[in-house]
Amino acid sequence: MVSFRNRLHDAVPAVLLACAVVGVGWMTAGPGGSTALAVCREVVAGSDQGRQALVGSCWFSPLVTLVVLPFAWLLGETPVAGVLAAWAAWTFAFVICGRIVERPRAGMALMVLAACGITAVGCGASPAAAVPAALTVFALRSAALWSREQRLRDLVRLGAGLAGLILCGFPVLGVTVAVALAIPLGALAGSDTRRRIPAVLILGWLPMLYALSVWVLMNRLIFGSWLFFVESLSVGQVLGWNGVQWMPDRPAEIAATAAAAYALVAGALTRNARAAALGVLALLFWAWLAVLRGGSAAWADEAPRAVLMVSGVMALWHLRHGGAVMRTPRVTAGDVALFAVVAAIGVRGLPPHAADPAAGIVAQVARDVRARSPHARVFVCGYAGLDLLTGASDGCLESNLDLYVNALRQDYYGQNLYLLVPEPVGAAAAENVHIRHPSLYASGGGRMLVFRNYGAWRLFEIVGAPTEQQLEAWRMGEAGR
Amino acid sequence: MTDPTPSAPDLAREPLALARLHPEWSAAQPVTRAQWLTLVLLATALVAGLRVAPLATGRALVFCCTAFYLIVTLYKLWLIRASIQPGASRAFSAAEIAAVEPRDWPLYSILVPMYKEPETLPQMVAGLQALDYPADRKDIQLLLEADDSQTVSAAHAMILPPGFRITLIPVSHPRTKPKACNVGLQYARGRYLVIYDAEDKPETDQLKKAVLTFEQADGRTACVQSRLNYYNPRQNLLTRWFAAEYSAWFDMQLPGLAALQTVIPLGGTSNHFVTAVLRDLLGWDAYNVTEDCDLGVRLCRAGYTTCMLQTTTWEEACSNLRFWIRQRTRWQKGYIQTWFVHMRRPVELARNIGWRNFIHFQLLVGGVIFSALVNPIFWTLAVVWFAVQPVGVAALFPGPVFAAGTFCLFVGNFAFVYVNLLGCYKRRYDSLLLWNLLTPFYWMLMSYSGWRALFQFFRNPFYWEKTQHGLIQKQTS
Repeated sequence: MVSFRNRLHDAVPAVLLACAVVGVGWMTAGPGGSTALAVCREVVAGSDQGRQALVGSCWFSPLVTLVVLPFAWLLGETPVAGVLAAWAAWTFAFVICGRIVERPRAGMALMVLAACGITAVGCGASPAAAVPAALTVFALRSAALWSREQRLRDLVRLGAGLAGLILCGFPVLGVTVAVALAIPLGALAGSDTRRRIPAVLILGWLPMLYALSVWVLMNRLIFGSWLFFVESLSVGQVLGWNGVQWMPDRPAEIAATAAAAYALVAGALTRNARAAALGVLALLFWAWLAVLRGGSAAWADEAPRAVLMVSGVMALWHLRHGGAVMRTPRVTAGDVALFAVVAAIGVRGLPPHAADPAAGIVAQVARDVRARSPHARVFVCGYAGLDLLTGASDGCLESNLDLYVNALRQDYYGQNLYLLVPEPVGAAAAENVHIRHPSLYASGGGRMLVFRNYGAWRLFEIVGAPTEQQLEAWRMGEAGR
Repeated sequence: MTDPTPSAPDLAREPLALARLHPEWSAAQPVTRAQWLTLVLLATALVAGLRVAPLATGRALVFCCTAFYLIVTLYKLWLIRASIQPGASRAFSAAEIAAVEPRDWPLYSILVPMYKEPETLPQMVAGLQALDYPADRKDIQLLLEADDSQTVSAAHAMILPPGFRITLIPVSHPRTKPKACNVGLQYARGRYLVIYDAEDKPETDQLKKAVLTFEQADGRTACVQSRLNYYNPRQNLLTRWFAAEYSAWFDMQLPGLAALQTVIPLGGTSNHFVTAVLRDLLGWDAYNVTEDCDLGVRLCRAGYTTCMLQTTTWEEACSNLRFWIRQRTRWQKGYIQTWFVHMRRPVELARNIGWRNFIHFQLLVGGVIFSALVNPIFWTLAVVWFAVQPVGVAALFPGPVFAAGTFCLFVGNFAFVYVNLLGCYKRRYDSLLLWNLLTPFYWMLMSYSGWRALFQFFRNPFYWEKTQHGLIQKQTS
């Protein structure tokens, strides 16, 4: 067993580095995880919207929400809860980084490198990036050990990592698939496991498939549709293909991609299989990032960006220190210095954190609809709606993730009903309201009248008057009587 | 538990000595008056609670059960983690055994209790002869019931090899295996002693490994438990499940318990003992239908520890559902007996074995039977909830309890199935993996036999539902 002292040795620098990463991330890009916090608010309240939001979209990870949930439960819906969740995930990631190499100094240097990379892409305070990245580090370490020794415990850990990654949703699907391939490839490297590939695949992939099945089952139970959470993957509506965007758009990403490519080539030349394999995986992650950006989903690239950074660093590290003898500390210091410079450049290049206009919109909408009727009710659509309602105390607005307009008319008969819809751009394009009513925002819907615009939000009034068919049926009934 | 034998009784004449000298350690009285009173009070409180405040009582019950599930899930995962640590079970390679040769091996007593199974005699004798241990150092007793004329005459008809002898067990109540073993213990000559069932096929170097383990262990080690597994895992679905369960239990959980040096519910056979310690403890409790589990607890109470040994004894998995249920009922009834015996004075038990081991005991012995009994109720609640989502069920699970329950349902249950798969993989039962995805149906059978065991415990506590062996031979022939 690992002694307490060794654990402390891993944990202290990891905790400190995670603090630094989160601190810099918060200062440069603001606190992340607002959507996860908004979902947590509803989950803690025990509302239907909370359950729906937890599992209702492959773009918003249920696992991230579950990681944030204990913090949100303890601290309430404050940005600190999301930041603490990110801190916990980074600490875990750095502890794993520290254990990748047996020598403490080398492990610590790897932690510093990873921290620099994450800082450089500005996602340090975001749990949506931290959780997948931490799981990737965990899975990659297990994959490296599995490929080398084919031990059952590494296979189990790899399986657990994959189960976590699949619950991180579509933004890291490519990462998940690439890591999943490490299981059969690792098995091929062992003489015994080579003959037991089906059993290895069952054990390695089962947790991932099971996690996915539970997600599907939850959709069936909550939404009545097995595949509700992937409906937003419809090409054209959300994913418009612009060709693969190969070029990373930040210096740190270029550095990580170059490091991965270098690890692949040099690893192949020096027969350092682990470095080469990790290089391949990191390049696959880069390819996934390129596909995601090419598919008009660049808004969802936060998690794969963080994953690319940590995997690139790990590949390079295995190249330098994967052999029997570690290189001199001077080289290590050089690595750290290089990445620190890249990180500093990256941080300087990050866009400034924009102020959140949500509170103003909510107050304005509430004022406007109350002016029409004291019994007005506004349904704010989608995850963006959950975000918008953060901190809102006005009871006339409520979120809606599964829009059935006729059901609303029946349930709130006699009230003035409104629908607040986000513009289908970026993440909002993947909202269910736009999948179910593709032209709603632009052209309106049946018996829904545009009321007013609030920035990128558009308010519709739901007309409660009976339809022509309903009137006809009523007339026929009267005539028959 | 100190000094159990002021003057050692003759176990051959008095195989029930434990019940006479220390009735507080014997299941002769299944439930004491104080326990009855406690049960009645609990039942009354439950009924009153359900009548006066049904929702609050229901919530309290659901909370307790959910907390139990959560703790058991985490506990099992912790055990598995402990099991995979190096040194969790003792291992000796052939080279290590060869390195100590030649040497004088101590006399080893082997007890083979048999009842109405004459057909297994030739296989059993051959198996024990094949053990790689000097023939003159083996002291093998076939423990045969005096009125079992078939087996007795078949044994007499055989020309038994040197080292074998027949010990007849006088007919008396209760007719249990531990009573026969007590008689065998009295006549045992070896420094160490092991029990094998008639159909067992131990690995040939098991005795030598056990001796080396005893010699290398500290003086507190009084028992060495071998791993058990089945030689017919692929016979049918039941044996596939059974083999996976045994693989998970003996390969992935018991070593963890041994590594933690805690109380171990011993397996039915292939447990090796220091004979003198066993005599000091007055042998097995003849009234307990899982005497092995009880003995494991008594060893712990007396301050002894149990080691796990990396060697396997191959048994026959029960392949017939009716017999399987009878066997499992007996095991679960024995667990209930053991729990009631040792919980007569819970504080004293905790003082004897320490609070840490006390919790292990509750989770291992009490937990097994409790979960078997409670599972069907929660499965029903889950199915009803998924089907119609009634308000009543939702009210029983307030927020945190619902979260914990969901975790146990989706993560806990999967973890238990997955552990069985891992056990299969370690045993190289690759073809069993997919079949064991159906393990939840196996749990239903266990729950059925759990309830059967509970009723039998109150109605017929000492009835020994004998395991039917030789089914595979019959099927093959």
